[in-house]
Amino acid sequence: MMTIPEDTLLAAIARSRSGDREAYAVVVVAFQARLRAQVALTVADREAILAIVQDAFIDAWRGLASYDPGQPFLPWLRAIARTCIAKHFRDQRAQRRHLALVDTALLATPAEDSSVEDATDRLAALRRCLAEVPAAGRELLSLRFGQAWQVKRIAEHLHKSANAVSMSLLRLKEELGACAERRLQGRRG
Amino acid sequence: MTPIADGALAELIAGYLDGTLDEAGALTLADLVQSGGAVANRIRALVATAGLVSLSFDPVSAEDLARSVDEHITADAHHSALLRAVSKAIAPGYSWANAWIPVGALVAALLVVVAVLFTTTRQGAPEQAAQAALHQSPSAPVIAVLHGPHQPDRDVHCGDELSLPVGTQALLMIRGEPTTCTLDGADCVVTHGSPGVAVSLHGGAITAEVAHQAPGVQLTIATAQAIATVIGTRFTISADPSRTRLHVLQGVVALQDRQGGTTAVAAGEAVESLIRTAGAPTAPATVLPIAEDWSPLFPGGSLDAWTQQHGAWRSDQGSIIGEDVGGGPARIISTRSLGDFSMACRVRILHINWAEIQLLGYNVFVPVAPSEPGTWQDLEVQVRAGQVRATCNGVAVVVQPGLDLGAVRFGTLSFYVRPGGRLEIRDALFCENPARPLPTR
Repeated sequence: MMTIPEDTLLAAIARSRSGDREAYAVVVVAFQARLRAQVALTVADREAILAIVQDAFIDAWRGLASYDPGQPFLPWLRAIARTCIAKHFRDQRAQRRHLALVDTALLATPAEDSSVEDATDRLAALRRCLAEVPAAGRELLSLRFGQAWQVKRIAEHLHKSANAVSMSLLRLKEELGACAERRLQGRRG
Repeated sequence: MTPIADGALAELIAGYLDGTLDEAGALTLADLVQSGGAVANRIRALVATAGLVSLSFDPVSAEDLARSVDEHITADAHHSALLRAVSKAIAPGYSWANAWIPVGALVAALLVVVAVLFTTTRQGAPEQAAQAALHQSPSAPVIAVLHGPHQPDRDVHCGDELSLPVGTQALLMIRGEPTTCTLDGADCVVTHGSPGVAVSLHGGAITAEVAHQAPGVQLTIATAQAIATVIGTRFTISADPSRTRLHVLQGVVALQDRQGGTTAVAAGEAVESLIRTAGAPTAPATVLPIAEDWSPLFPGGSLDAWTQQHGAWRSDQGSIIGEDVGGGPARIISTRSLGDFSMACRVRILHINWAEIQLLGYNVFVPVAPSEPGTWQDLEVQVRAGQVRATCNGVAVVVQPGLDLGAVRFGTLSFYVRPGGRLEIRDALFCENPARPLPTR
């Protein structure tokens, strides 16, 4: 994570409110990693995560006049990002067709609102867990999430059935999630 | 709800996460999510893991993101300035939806603008004006707003003298209707016509699509050799001290030489003439043949007509190659704005699988996302009056809109490749103002 002194950041936010775009670039650099991690908790697709984070920063720039400098900046930014996430799911409804039924059901059920620290800690833990994944698993994850290949294409590439690839990915994600949780629990404990 | 075996549930969840779940499966899974928190929590945990794993492979740096945000803010500012100018210039009570309001009730706010290539008159070498100059008459009404890659947004008042860089776009107000035009270099004086708007064009070029005017209302563009009277048409006019060239794409433009002779230039015709040398009379206008000439987009591998905005671009063994060795994006932008044109080229993307052809300024995007990175793709792009059609390997590409400016007809052409990628372009041919209509696919 990019470390920018707190006073520098506060000054950058203040200058941004006066229309200074160079200062706003400092703000974007300072907060982008935390916002990406936060958005990634609810959106799996990398391109979508980046688009949502970008939209959130653009909307935040437009709305800087409404930001109260007496309040912390990050919660205000997160609220904007949540709106962008909701908009993303709305926009995706037609494209995702019946998958949107599950999206809607998930949005309708209560979920814990993870803190930014949870998200960034989880990302750090997950990266350490990724390093422990065997080579074949890493290749699979790299194709799916690094190269953004569809499951069908991965299956053809690896000469496996799509269902087998899909289930392997599911197991890998569950193992990674469990690994990250263990690491987080260990740190908290 | 019927209990579901864990294996079957896992398959449903995997299908949902991979986007392969069918409708029946989606209905079942949605019911399960609604009926109990455990399934919802399991899916959320998996989505979170997938999202965070995605970030672990994320090549986009913080600085790239900041640049991208800044680019959008810049574009946003242009858009806002245009809308401000429109709202200021339109008479109160005007309804965009009602084009039948009596003409007399509309403000005959009129237009102008112009351009000049500081180029050809200076030792023959194209030289882009680095600075834009604007001598303003701030008390006069705003009749246009300017924007472009090399200057901040500016209001144009009637009476302003303009000296602008290549690629400047303007939104002009003619009878309350916004008209987009492009000023490729600009050296002109803008005054009120009688009635209408008059532009004295000393050099450079204006390309515009002017809506049909009310009787008696006209735009006149005067050069050293001639006066073009525009009532409602699409055209490009360029001028330098020795020459005026007019190319009409739609409608008719009357071109009057300084000795009183008038030539009606119709759609599809070009007139170049009126060469005036010292002491010699002005020659009459000569109608030129218009040929659909294709020419190299990068003649001899030259990048002189391009601005390298991101990454490093070079010519190598017949290919134009762009990449950022630091892992950022690469973008090259034409220094000149384009209206109607056709382009054909072959492109290859290495390391990633996403590039774009960006058209009409930053307003229309043609994505290039081959299923196999590293393979050559045959691209064709056609732009006609702001409408874009594109094919990749003969298959129509879904063109993506940008800022939704609506009436954009002219703008720069860019090649862009996402961070970490390398874009190679070969056999790029280009044809401006093609005579053929846009084909339907």
